[in-house]
Amino acid sequence: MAVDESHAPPPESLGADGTGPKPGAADVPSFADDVVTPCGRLLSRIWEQARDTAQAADPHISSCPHCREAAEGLSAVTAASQALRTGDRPGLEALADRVMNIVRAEVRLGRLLPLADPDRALRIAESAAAKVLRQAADRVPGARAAACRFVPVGDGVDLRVTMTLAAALDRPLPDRIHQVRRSVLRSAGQDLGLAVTAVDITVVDVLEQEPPCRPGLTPGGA
Amino acid sequence: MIDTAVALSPGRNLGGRDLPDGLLAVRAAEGDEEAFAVLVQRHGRPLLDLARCMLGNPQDAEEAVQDAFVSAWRRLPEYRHSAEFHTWMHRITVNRCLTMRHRRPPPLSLDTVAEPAATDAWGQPARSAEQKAATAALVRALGELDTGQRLCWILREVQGLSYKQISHVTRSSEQAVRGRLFRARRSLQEAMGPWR
Amino acid sequence: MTVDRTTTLLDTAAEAALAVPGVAALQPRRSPRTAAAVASTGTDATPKGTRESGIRADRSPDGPGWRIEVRCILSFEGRRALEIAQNVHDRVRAAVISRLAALDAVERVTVEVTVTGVVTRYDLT
Repeated sequence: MAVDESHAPPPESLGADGTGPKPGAADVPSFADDVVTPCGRLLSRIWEQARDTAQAADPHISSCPHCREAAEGLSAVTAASQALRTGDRPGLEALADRVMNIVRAEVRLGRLLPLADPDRALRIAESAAAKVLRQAADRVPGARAAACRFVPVGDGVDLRVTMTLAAALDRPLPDRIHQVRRSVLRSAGQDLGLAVTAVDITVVDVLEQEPPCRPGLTPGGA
Repeated sequence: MIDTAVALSPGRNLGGRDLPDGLLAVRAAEGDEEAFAVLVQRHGRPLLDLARCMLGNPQDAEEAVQDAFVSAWRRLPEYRHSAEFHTWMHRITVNRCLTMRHRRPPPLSLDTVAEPAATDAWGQPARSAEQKAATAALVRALGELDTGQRLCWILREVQGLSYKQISHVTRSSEQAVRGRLFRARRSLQEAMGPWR
Repeated sequence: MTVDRTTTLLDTAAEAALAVPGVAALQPRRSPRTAAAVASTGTDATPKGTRESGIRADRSPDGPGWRIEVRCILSFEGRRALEIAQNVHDRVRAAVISRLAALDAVERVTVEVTVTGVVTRYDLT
């Protein structure tokens, strides 16, 4: 990266690969509180070279006593932070289990929806019904449900579903929406026993395509 | 016309591991615990690192992050998505750490540091009391930094991310990242004065 | 006397509900210990007859009789939530009426069933 040595490089060219301007430049401070050493180097640049760059960009900084003393100034911090870098990292599994135990005990019931039986008081929590219908939507390739809400229709047990979706663009959206609607209606009737009369679907996001997954393989972690 | 199977049969795992944070947050806000479990798996480690840096030991860090996640679960219905989920979690975690620090400040003097042992609580060969006190002072100083500076420092020095990666995580320019890093280092250097 | 009877009815209702195929567990109430049992085993690890076990038994507000509320978590295994809930309703009602009869009490019993969660295959992977 050739840089004219006679003036400080513009900000946009800095940091692209973590190295600074060519050696020998009498740098103009790039940070308001930066410090220039007697030999004309920026303290920020000296520290970056000491801590952040893999290769020695400026041989002067490595050899000059002023610069080396300035770099030395960080050694106490670096030594003290060693334990933070390499110390025993607490396990995530036990933490995740504890969090999920608490979460499951505090299940958000939300509204209660009537199951389709006029003679008995049978209800299902909106969150539970939403979970099942979201999975029905998710079973349609190229679709993933986001929100799933229910609205009562009339005085009886009828319900209207309002769903938002992330959808892939490899097929016309109306086709995909139609598939999702069919899947959701079928699940509402055959898995739950909810009297869903309509399903409103809005696509709110694009789903990134992924390679098709064979049964038995789990997708890679995020 | 695709005849989708109704039975909840095994097959592709649709547990949501491939969904973006925003979508998972919407589902979790409606009570979908599996979606929330994915978020916990995804963000747990960086938050534990952050908490460890702010509190100085892994046990407190676990407690802080656990509280932060539970708090996030309860507040998800109000989360407005104006900030990214990981930024929102970061803020909750930092606040939790600050509250815990206020109640239980890191050890101040050599006297309060643990007795000698073959390995310490961190699984490292026992460090000297002075080393431990130095780390405690560093943790205290980290807690006093401006949030952006602290985050850049942790991402660079503890998690080893490059400027480019840090700029992505923090959604700022590399120049801004370098500026924050520099300021953080200056503040920390000053705070560590007695340990030179 | 009423307290004992309530406990008896809670036990009866819980036992009947848990025996219905498709009922994974009763919904614990804000108790991390019992929730942990549900989450890990999904079996009858919750104590019966307590506030934590997902059953409420009250005297009916309107007239004589009992009102039993059952909160449960279902696992489908090929059944509809509606049918499972109907079974829970009918069996709990029958069991409670039978229990009361054994105590020489003939009273009206109404049962309400609330499905609070569903366990799907994906929860078990």
